[in-house]
Amino acid sequence: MAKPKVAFYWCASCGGCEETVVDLNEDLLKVADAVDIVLYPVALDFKRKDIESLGDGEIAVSFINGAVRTEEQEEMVKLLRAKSGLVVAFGSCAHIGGIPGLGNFWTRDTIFQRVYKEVPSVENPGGTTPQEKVAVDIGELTLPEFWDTVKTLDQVIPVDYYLPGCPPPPDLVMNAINAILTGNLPEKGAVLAPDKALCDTCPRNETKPEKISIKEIKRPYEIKIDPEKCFLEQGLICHGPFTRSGCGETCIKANMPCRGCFGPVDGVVDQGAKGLSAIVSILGLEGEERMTEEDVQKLIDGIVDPAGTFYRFSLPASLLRRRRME
Amino acid sequence: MEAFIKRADEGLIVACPYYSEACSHHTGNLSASYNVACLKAILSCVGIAPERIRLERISAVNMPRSVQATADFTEEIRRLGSSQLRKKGGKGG
Repeated sequence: MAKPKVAFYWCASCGGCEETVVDLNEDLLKVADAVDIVLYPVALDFKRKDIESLGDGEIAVSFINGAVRTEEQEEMVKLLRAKSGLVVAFGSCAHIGGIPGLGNFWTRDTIFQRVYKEVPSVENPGGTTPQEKVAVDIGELTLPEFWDTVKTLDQVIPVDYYLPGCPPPPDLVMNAINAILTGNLPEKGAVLAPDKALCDTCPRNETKPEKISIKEIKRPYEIKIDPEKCFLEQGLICHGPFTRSGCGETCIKANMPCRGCFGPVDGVVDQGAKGLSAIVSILGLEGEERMTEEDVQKLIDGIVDPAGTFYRFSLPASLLRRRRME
Repeated sequence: MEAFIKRADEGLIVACPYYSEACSHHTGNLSASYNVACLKAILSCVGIAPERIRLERISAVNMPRSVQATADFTEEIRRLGSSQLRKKGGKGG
Protein backbone atom coordinates (compact mmCIF):
# COMPACT_ATOMS: atom_id res chain seq x y z
CA MET A 1 0.00 0.00 0.00
CA ALA A 2 1.29 3.45 -0.91
CA LYS A 3 2.40 5.55 2.02
CA PRO A 4 0.44 8.76 2.71
CA LYS A 5 2.07 11.78 1.13
CA VAL A 6 3.10 14.64 3.41
CA ALA A 7 4.32 18.14 2.53
CA PHE A 8 6.14 20.66 4.70
CA TYR A 9 6.23 24.23 3.45
CA TRP A 10 7.39 27.60 4.80
CA CYS A 11 6.14 31.09 4.12
CA ALA A 12 6.97 34.24 6.17
CA SER A 13 8.85 32.51 8.96
CA CYS A 14 12.27 32.21 10.56
CA GLY A 15 13.07 28.53 10.00
CA GLY A 16 12.42 27.58 13.62
CA CYS A 17 9.43 25.47 12.59
CA GLU A 18 11.67 23.37 10.32
CA GLU A 19 14.04 23.04 13.26
CA THR A 20 11.29 21.60 15.44
CA VAL A 21 10.71 18.86 12.83
CA VAL A 22 14.43 18.01 13.08
CA ASP A 23 13.99 18.07 16.89
CA LEU A 24 11.71 15.05 16.56
CA ASN A 25 15.08 13.24 16.68
CA GLU A 26 14.68 9.45 16.29
CA ASP A 27 10.93 9.91 15.83
CA LEU A 28 11.70 11.66 12.55
CA LEU A 29 12.93 8.30 11.21
CA LYS A 30 9.62 6.70 12.18
CA VAL A 31 7.78 9.51 10.40
CA ALA A 32 9.98 9.12 7.32
CA ASP A 33 9.19 5.36 7.34
CA ALA A 34 5.47 5.89 7.67
CA VAL A 35 4.99 8.65 5.09
CA ASP A 36 6.24 9.79 1.72
CA ILE A 37 7.55 13.35 2.00
CA VAL A 38 6.77 15.19 -1.24
CA LEU A 39 7.88 18.72 -0.32
CA TYR A 40 10.30 19.99 2.31
CA PRO A 41 12.24 22.99 0.96
CA VAL A 42 14.64 23.25 3.88
CA ALA A 43 15.96 19.71 3.40
CA LEU A 44 14.85 18.12 0.14
CA ASP A 45 15.05 19.27 -3.45
CA PHE A 46 11.48 19.07 -4.67
CA LYS A 47 10.16 21.72 -7.03
CA ARG A 48 6.85 23.42 -7.53
CA LYS A 49 6.22 21.40 -10.70
CA ASP A 50 6.44 18.20 -8.61
CA ILE A 51 3.48 19.41 -6.58
CA GLU A 52 1.63 20.65 -9.65
CA SER A 53 1.90 17.18 -11.17
CA LEU A 54 0.02 15.59 -8.24
CA GLY A 55 -3.74 15.05 -8.32
CA ASP A 56 -6.11 17.17 -6.22
CA GLY A 57 -6.21 15.92 -2.63
CA GLU A 58 -3.36 13.47 -3.30
CA ILE A 59 -1.21 14.84 -0.45
CA ALA A 60 -2.63 13.47 2.81
CA VAL A 61 -1.53 16.48 4.84
CA SER A 62 0.42 19.70 4.28
CA PHE A 63 2.08 21.28 7.29
CA ILE A 64 2.45 24.94 6.37
CA ASN A 65 4.40 27.28 8.61
CA GLY A 66 4.86 31.03 8.33
CA ALA A 67 2.47 33.89 7.75
CA VAL A 68 1.49 34.87 4.22
CA ARG A 69 2.79 38.22 2.98
CA THR A 70 3.88 37.78 -0.64
CA GLU A 71 2.20 36.85 -3.89
CA GLU A 72 4.40 33.75 -4.19
CA GLN A 73 3.42 32.50 -0.72
CA GLU A 74 -0.24 32.98 -1.63
CA GLU A 75 0.19 30.97 -4.85
CA MET A 76 2.03 28.15 -3.09
CA VAL A 77 -0.45 27.77 -0.24
CA LYS A 78 -3.36 27.80 -2.67
CA LEU A 79 -1.62 25.10 -4.72
CA LEU A 80 -0.97 23.02 -1.59
CA ARG A 81 -4.57 23.49 -0.45
CA ALA A 82 -5.85 22.09 -3.75
CA LYS A 83 -3.50 19.11 -3.62
CA SER A 84 -4.02 18.28 0.08
CA GLY A 85 -6.66 16.39 2.03
CA LEU A 86 -5.69 18.22 5.22
CA VAL A 87 -3.87 21.49 5.83
CA VAL A 88 -2.33 22.15 9.23
CA ALA A 89 -1.30 25.72 10.12
CA PHE A 90 2.04 24.90 11.73
CA GLY A 91 3.40 27.33 14.31
CA SER A 92 2.48 30.80 15.56
CA CYS A 93 3.01 32.65 12.26
CA ALA A 94 0.64 30.45 10.25
CA HIS A 95 -1.76 30.21 13.21
CA ILE A 96 -2.05 33.87 14.37
CA GLY A 97 0.52 35.87 12.38
CA GLY A 98 3.49 35.54 14.71
CA ILE A 99 6.44 37.90 14.87
CA PRO A 100 6.26 38.74 11.12
CA GLY A 101 2.73 39.92 11.90
CA LEU A 102 4.20 42.89 13.77
CA GLY A 103 4.89 44.20 10.25
CA ASN A 104 1.20 45.13 10.23
CA PHE A 105 2.07 48.14 12.40
CA TRP A 106 3.79 49.43 9.25
CA THR A 107 3.32 49.39 5.47
CA ARG A 108 5.36 48.00 2.63
CA ASP A 109 6.83 51.43 1.91
CA THR A 110 7.81 52.16 5.52
CA ILE A 111 9.32 48.67 5.88
CA PHE A 112 11.35 49.08 2.66
CA GLN A 113 12.43 52.56 3.74
CA ARG A 114 13.69 51.25 7.07
CA VAL A 115 15.23 47.96 5.91
CA TYR A 116 16.88 49.11 2.69
CA LYS A 117 17.73 52.75 3.48
CA GLU A 118 17.76 53.66 7.17
CA VAL A 119 19.21 50.71 9.05
CA PRO A 120 22.69 51.85 10.23
CA SER A 121 24.39 48.70 8.93
CA VAL A 122 23.00 49.14 5.40
CA GLU A 123 24.99 50.89 2.66
CA ASN A 124 22.69 51.68 -0.21
CA PRO A 125 23.77 54.99 -1.81
CA GLY A 126 21.49 54.43 -4.81
CA GLY A 127 18.48 53.91 -2.54
CA THR A 128 17.63 50.65 -4.32
CA THR A 129 14.56 48.79 -3.09
CA PRO A 130 13.16 45.49 -4.40
CA GLN A 131 11.25 45.86 -7.65
CA GLU A 132 8.70 43.40 -8.99
CA LYS A 133 10.13 43.70 -12.50
CA VAL A 134 13.50 44.76 -13.84
CA ALA A 135 14.82 44.63 -17.41
CA VAL A 136 18.30 43.12 -17.84
CA ASP A 137 20.30 42.04 -20.90
CA ILE A 138 18.79 38.59 -20.99
CA GLY A 139 15.21 39.76 -20.55
CA GLU A 140 12.94 40.69 -17.64
CA LEU A 141 13.52 39.50 -14.07
CA THR A 142 10.63 39.36 -11.65
CA LEU A 143 10.12 39.11 -7.89
CA PRO A 144 6.86 38.29 -6.13
CA GLU A 145 4.84 41.22 -4.84
CA PHE A 146 5.47 42.07 -1.17
CA TRP A 147 2.22 43.02 0.52
CA ASP A 148 1.46 45.81 2.97
CA THR A 149 -0.40 43.30 5.12
CA VAL A 150 0.76 40.09 6.76
CA LYS A 151 -1.97 37.45 6.88
CA THR A 152 -2.56 34.32 8.89
CA LEU A 153 -2.80 31.13 6.83
CA ASP A 154 -6.56 30.85 7.36
CA GLN A 155 -7.05 34.35 5.97
CA VAL A 156 -5.75 33.01 2.64
CA ILE A 157 -6.90 29.36 2.46
CA PRO A 158 -9.20 27.12 4.53
CA VAL A 159 -7.22 25.46 7.34
CA ASP A 160 -8.21 22.16 8.97
CA TYR A 161 -6.09 22.20 12.14
CA TYR A 162 -3.72 24.49 14.01
CA LEU A 163 -0.48 23.54 15.72
CA PRO A 164 0.45 26.53 17.88
CA GLY A 165 3.82 27.64 19.17
CA CYS A 166 7.00 29.42 18.23
CA PRO A 167 7.90 26.74 17.33
CA PRO A 168 5.40 23.97 18.18
CA PRO A 169 7.12 21.59 20.61
CA PRO A 170 8.10 18.16 19.21
CA ASP A 171 5.64 16.26 21.45
CA LEU A 172 2.67 18.19 20.05
CA VAL A 173 3.99 17.72 16.51
CA MET A 174 4.34 13.97 17.05
CA ASN A 175 0.88 13.75 18.61
CA ALA A 176 -0.56 15.55 15.59
CA ILE A 177 1.24 13.30 13.11
CA ASN A 178 0.09 10.18 14.98
CA ALA A 179 -3.48 11.48 15.13
CA ILE A 180 -3.45 12.11 11.38
CA LEU A 181 -1.90 8.72 10.54
CA THR A 182 -4.43 6.88 12.69
CA GLY A 183 -7.38 9.06 11.71
CA ASN A 184 -7.97 9.87 15.35
CA LEU A 185 -8.62 13.57 14.81
CA PRO A 186 -10.74 16.11 16.68
CA GLU A 187 -13.34 18.31 15.03
CA LYS A 188 -12.08 20.39 12.11
CA GLY A 189 -10.80 23.81 13.09
CA ALA A 190 -9.34 22.56 16.37
CA VAL A 191 -6.11 23.81 17.85
CA LEU A 192 -4.05 20.69 18.58
CA ALA A 193 -3.03 21.71 22.10
CA PRO A 194 -4.73 21.77 25.52
CA ASP A 195 -7.57 24.26 25.92
CA LYS A 196 -6.38 25.81 29.16
CA ALA A 197 -4.37 28.87 30.11
CA LEU A 198 -0.65 28.55 30.74
CA CYS A 199 -1.13 29.74 34.34
CA ASP A 200 -3.04 26.49 34.99
CA THR A 201 0.01 24.40 34.17
CA CYS A 202 2.72 26.83 35.28
CA PRO A 203 5.10 25.39 37.90
CA ARG A 204 5.04 28.77 39.71
CA ASN A 205 1.27 28.67 40.13
CA GLU A 206 1.60 26.99 43.51
CA THR A 207 3.54 29.91 44.96
CA LYS A 208 1.34 32.54 43.34
CA PRO A 209 -0.41 34.69 45.93
CA GLU A 210 -4.18 34.87 45.84
CA LYS A 211 -4.11 38.57 45.06
CA ILE A 212 -1.41 40.22 42.97
CA SER A 213 -0.97 43.97 42.73
CA ILE A 214 1.72 45.36 40.42
CA LYS A 215 3.09 48.66 41.70
CA GLU A 216 5.54 49.17 38.88
CA ILE A 217 6.01 47.37 35.57
CA LYS A 218 9.49 45.94 35.14
CA ARG A 219 11.30 44.54 32.12
CA PRO A 220 13.29 41.31 32.47
CA TYR A 221 16.69 43.00 32.15
CA GLU A 222 15.90 45.49 34.92
CA ILE A 223 15.66 43.05 37.80
CA LYS A 224 17.22 39.87 39.08
CA ILE A 225 14.36 37.49 38.40
CA ASP A 226 13.44 35.15 41.25
CA PRO A 227 13.30 31.66 39.67
CA GLU A 228 10.50 30.48 41.97
CA LYS A 229 8.09 33.41 42.16
CA CYS A 230 5.24 34.22 39.76
CA PHE A 231 6.52 36.73 37.17
CA LEU A 232 3.48 38.96 37.59
CA GLU A 233 4.17 39.19 41.30
CA GLN A 234 7.64 40.47 40.36
CA GLY A 235 6.15 43.20 38.14
CA LEU A 236 7.00 41.46 34.86
CA ILE A 237 4.36 41.17 32.17
CA CYS A 238 3.75 37.46 31.70
CA HIS A 239 1.26 36.32 29.06
CA GLY A 240 0.42 33.17 31.02
CA PRO A 241 -3.09 34.23 32.10
CA PHE A 242 -4.22 34.81 28.49
CA THR A 243 -2.16 32.27 26.53
CA ARG A 244 -2.87 28.63 25.71
CA SER A 245 -0.86 25.99 27.50
CA GLY A 246 0.89 23.02 25.84
CA CYS A 247 4.37 24.47 25.33
CA GLY A 248 5.91 22.52 28.19
CA GLU A 249 6.53 25.84 29.98
CA THR A 250 9.95 26.05 28.35
CA CYS A 251 10.30 29.83 28.72
CA ILE A 252 9.16 29.71 32.35
CA LYS A 253 11.73 26.99 33.08
CA ALA A 254 14.39 29.23 31.51
CA ASN A 255 13.26 31.96 33.96
CA MET A 256 11.60 34.11 31.31
CA PRO A 257 7.95 35.17 31.35
CA CYS A 258 5.54 33.81 28.74
CA ARG A 259 5.41 35.93 25.57
CA GLY A 260 2.14 34.52 24.25
CA CYS A 261 3.25 32.45 21.23
CA PHE A 262 0.58 29.75 21.70
CA GLY A 263 -2.20 32.24 21.08
CA PRO A 264 -5.43 32.43 23.05
CA VAL A 265 -7.55 29.61 24.43
CA ASP A 266 -10.74 28.65 22.58
CA GLY A 267 -13.43 31.31 22.52
CA VAL A 268 -11.11 34.31 22.90
CA VAL A 269 -11.44 36.53 19.85
CA ASP A 270 -8.58 38.93 20.58
CA GLN A 271 -5.60 37.74 22.61
CA GLY A 272 -4.18 41.27 22.97
CA ALA A 273 -7.40 42.77 24.33
CA LYS A 274 -7.78 39.82 26.68
CA GLY A 275 -4.21 40.34 27.87
CA LEU A 276 -4.74 44.03 28.38
CA SER A 277 -7.77 43.34 30.57
CA ALA A 278 -5.88 40.68 32.54
CA ILE A 279 -2.87 42.88 33.24
CA VAL A 280 -4.71 46.13 34.05
CA SER A 281 -6.91 44.26 36.52
CA ILE A 282 -3.85 43.70 38.73
CA LEU A 283 -2.12 47.05 38.23
CA GLY A 284 -1.61 49.31 41.26
CA LEU A 285 -4.64 48.35 43.29
CA GLU A 286 -3.27 49.78 46.51
CA GLY A 287 -3.76 53.45 47.33
CA GLU A 288 -6.49 53.88 44.76
CA GLU A 289 -8.10 56.76 46.64
CA ARG A 290 -5.00 58.88 46.33
CA MET A 291 -4.31 57.98 42.72
CA THR A 292 -4.40 60.79 40.18
CA GLU A 293 -4.71 60.55 36.39
CA GLU A 294 -0.97 61.22 36.23
CA ASP A 295 -0.29 58.24 38.50
CA VAL A 296 -2.41 56.02 36.26
CA GLN A 297 -0.60 57.28 33.17
CA LYS A 298 2.80 56.80 34.82
CA LEU A 299 2.08 53.16 35.59
CA ILE A 300 0.80 52.58 32.04
CA ASP A 301 3.87 54.31 30.59
CA GLY A 302 5.87 51.55 32.29
CA ILE A 303 4.50 49.18 29.63
CA VAL A 304 6.96 49.93 26.87
CA ASP A 305 5.27 49.44 23.49
CA PRO A 306 1.89 48.17 24.75
CA ALA A 307 0.66 47.35 21.24
CA GLY A 308 3.75 45.26 20.48
CA THR A 309 3.61 43.68 23.93
CA PHE A 310 0.00 42.54 23.95
CA TYR A 311 -0.17 41.76 20.22
CA ARG A 312 3.37 40.36 19.95
CA PHE A 313 2.26 37.19 18.15
CA SER A 314 -1.35 37.81 17.25
CA LEU A 315 -1.81 41.17 15.50
CA PRO A 316 -2.93 39.77 12.09
CA ALA A 317 -5.45 37.46 13.79
CA SER A 318 -6.75 40.19 16.12
CA LEU A 319 -9.69 42.53 15.75
CA LEU A 320 -7.23 45.32 14.91
CA ARG A 321 -5.44 43.27 12.21
CA ARG A 322 -3.20 46.13 11.08
CA ARG A 323 -2.41 49.82 11.17
CA ARG A 324 -4.92 51.86 9.18
CA MET A 325 -3.59 52.79 5.76
CA GLU A 326 -3.15 56.54 5.12
CA MET B 1 -12.59 47.44 21.17
CA GLU B 2 -15.01 45.14 19.46
CA ALA B 3 -17.43 48.05 19.13
CA PHE B 4 -14.69 50.08 17.50
CA ILE B 5 -13.85 47.41 14.98
CA LYS B 6 -17.43 46.58 14.10
CA ARG B 7 -19.05 49.94 13.41
CA ALA B 8 -18.34 52.58 15.99
CA ASP B 9 -16.33 55.71 15.21
CA GLU B 10 -15.74 56.41 18.86
CA GLY B 11 -16.32 55.11 22.37
CA LEU B 12 -17.45 57.00 25.45
CA ILE B 13 -17.11 54.92 28.58
CA VAL B 14 -18.90 56.21 31.64
CA ALA B 15 -17.83 54.82 34.99
CA CYS B 16 -18.82 55.38 38.57
CA PRO B 17 -16.92 58.28 40.21
CA TYR B 18 -16.50 56.49 43.51
CA TYR B 19 -13.60 54.37 44.67
CA SER B 20 -13.52 50.74 45.65
CA GLU B 21 -14.90 50.97 49.15
CA ALA B 22 -17.95 52.94 48.05
CA CYS B 23 -18.60 51.24 44.73
CA SER B 24 -20.09 47.84 43.92
CA HIS B 25 -17.53 47.43 41.13
CA HIS B 26 -14.75 47.53 43.72
CA THR B 27 -11.54 48.19 41.79
CA GLY B 28 -13.25 47.94 38.38
CA ASN B 29 -13.22 51.72 37.94
CA LEU B 30 -9.50 51.90 38.48
CA SER B 31 -8.96 49.02 36.06
CA ALA B 32 -11.07 50.93 33.52
CA SER B 33 -8.74 53.93 33.91
CA TYR B 34 -5.69 51.76 33.24
CA ASN B 35 -7.46 49.97 30.43
CA VAL B 36 -8.45 53.16 28.62
CA ALA B 37 -4.99 54.74 29.10
CA CYS B 38 -3.33 51.65 27.63
CA LEU B 39 -5.91 51.24 24.88
CA LYS B 40 -5.24 54.83 23.75
CA ALA B 41 -1.57 53.93 23.26
CA ILE B 42 -2.51 50.77 21.33
CA LEU B 43 -5.01 52.59 19.12
CA SER B 44 -2.36 55.21 18.28
CA CYS B 45 -0.12 52.40 17.01
CA VAL B 46 -2.77 51.25 14.57
CA GLY B 47 -3.51 54.75 13.33
CA ILE B 48 -6.67 55.45 15.32
CA ALA B 49 -6.78 58.83 17.10
CA PRO B 50 -6.68 58.16 20.87
CA GLU B 51 -9.22 60.98 21.36
CA ARG B 52 -11.82 58.61 19.93
CA ILE B 53 -12.01 56.83 23.23
CA ARG B 54 -12.81 58.69 26.43
CA LEU B 55 -13.48 57.67 30.00
CA GLU B 56 -15.72 59.85 32.15
CA ARG B 57 -16.46 59.15 35.79
CA ILE B 58 -19.97 60.41 36.45
CA SER B 59 -22.48 59.51 39.13
CA ALA B 60 -25.68 57.84 37.90
CA VAL B 61 -27.74 60.64 39.45
CA ASN B 62 -25.78 63.47 37.86
CA MET B 63 -27.78 63.77 34.65
CA PRO B 64 -26.64 67.30 33.68
CA ARG B 65 -23.02 66.13 33.82
CA SER B 66 -23.87 63.06 31.68
CA VAL B 67 -25.58 65.22 29.08
CA GLN B 68 -22.71 67.68 29.01
CA ALA B 69 -20.08 64.92 28.71
CA THR B 70 -21.97 63.29 25.84
CA ALA B 71 -22.36 66.64 24.05
CA ASP B 72 -18.67 67.48 24.52
CA PHE B 73 -17.62 64.09 23.20
CA THR B 74 -19.97 64.32 20.23
CA GLU B 75 -18.46 67.70 19.39
CA GLU B 76 -14.96 66.22 19.59
CA ILE B 77 -15.88 63.36 17.25
CA ARG B 78 -17.49 65.77 14.76
CA ARG B 79 -14.16 67.58 14.72
CA LEU B 80 -12.25 64.33 14.12
CA GLY B 81 -14.65 63.10 11.41
CA SER B 82 -15.37 59.51 10.49
CA SER B 83 -12.77 56.98 11.53
CA GLN B 84 -10.72 54.93 9.04
CA LEU B 85 -11.51 51.66 10.75
CA ARG B 86 -13.28 49.99 7.89
CA LYS B 87 -10.78 50.99 5.25
CA LYS B 88 -8.99 48.07 3.58
CA GLY B 89 -5.39 47.45 4.40
CA GLY B 90 -3.51 48.22 1.16
CA LYS B 91 -1.65 45.53 -0.75
CA GLY B 92 -2.68 42.17 0.65
CA GLY B 93 -6.00 43.52 1.96
